[in-house]
Amino acid sequence: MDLNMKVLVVDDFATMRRIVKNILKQIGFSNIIEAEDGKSAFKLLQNGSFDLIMCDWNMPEMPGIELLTKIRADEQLKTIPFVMVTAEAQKNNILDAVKAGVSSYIVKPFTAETVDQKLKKIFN
Amino acid sequence: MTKHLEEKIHKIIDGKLSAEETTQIIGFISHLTGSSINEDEQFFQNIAYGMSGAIKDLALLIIDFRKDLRSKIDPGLTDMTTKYIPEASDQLEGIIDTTEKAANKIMDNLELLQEQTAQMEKIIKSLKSGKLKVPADEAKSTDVQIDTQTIEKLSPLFNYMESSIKNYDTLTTDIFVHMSFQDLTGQRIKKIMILVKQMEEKLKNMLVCFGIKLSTKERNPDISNEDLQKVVDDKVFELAGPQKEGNGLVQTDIDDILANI
Repeated sequence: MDLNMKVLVVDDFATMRRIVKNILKQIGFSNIIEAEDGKSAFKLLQNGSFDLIMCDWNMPEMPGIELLTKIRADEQLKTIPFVMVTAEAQKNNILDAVKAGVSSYIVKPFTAETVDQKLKKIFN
Repeated sequence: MTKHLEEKIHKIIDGKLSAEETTQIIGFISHLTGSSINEDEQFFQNIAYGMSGAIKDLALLIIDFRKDLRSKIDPGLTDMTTKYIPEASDQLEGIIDTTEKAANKIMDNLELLQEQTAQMEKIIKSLKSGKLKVPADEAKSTDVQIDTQTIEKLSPLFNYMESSIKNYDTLTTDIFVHMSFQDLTGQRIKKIMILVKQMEEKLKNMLVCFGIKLSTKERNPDISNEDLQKVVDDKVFELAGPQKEGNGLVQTDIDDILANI
């Protein structure tokens, strides 16, 4: 797993973005960018080359599932690994995310170990 | 039978209702019972007797409303709509702000702890390699050489310290993760806030419609129901206005309506 990769953390709660960023730093990532909603995240993705997206589901303007669908439909962005980090834990949510092309699904509250394991599974 | 019921109602409320109001009550009872008042006298009598208390309450309510319209728009309902529910909404928003501030403060301290443990790790590493650079003040730091024998003797201590530092790291990261309570509670509170705001809107509209209808009817008793509804719709549109899209009425609007009743 290349710890120099550029990571985009998307969540409308600043506290949550900070937590995810801290965990990523503990794992060893240092190039971490934040976005507070799906719309601004998509703009950042279009303008920069990101290697990983960690995204919440419930956000105003553009929920995570909508951002995921948009990314998978975009020729330039469709291969970027997308990890849904969310409190939505119903089976139908997970199925929807899988259908939309999610790379992994982490349910809140989560541990740092879970994040580490999921990312290693994606990249190794 | 209808005449019998009319007499009964007059007797209950001492003849204080108009003929039209009495007819409306009879129609209401007929609708509730689903029976024709003229055909089922005994059945109807039983129902009527049973409902006499409720009829009296209903009639008294109508009478009281006619006496003093303003004071009888339940102050409790007005307060609930214009004070308590908006206050509840503000309080909920306050919870999110307060918990966010507290969570951020805790995370500030945790990040400081993480920096300090990272420093301690560096010091232990340098000690184990026989050197010591004293940090805190980089300008005054000194290199200190430690001989191999001393390093060996101190090795168990270094190992213990390294292990402790790893534990601190794990614990601080764990505390960090649990700060996600602010996100989880915040999401739930936001859902409640949406519900509270919807309730506020509906109650305000109810209050406005009821108040306008009563005051308009009093000024113009012959107004038709269609025209009455138009007055309500026009007033609600005027108060909402395009500049308040989705925001509904504010306190001053409600006060204006109440002042005009």
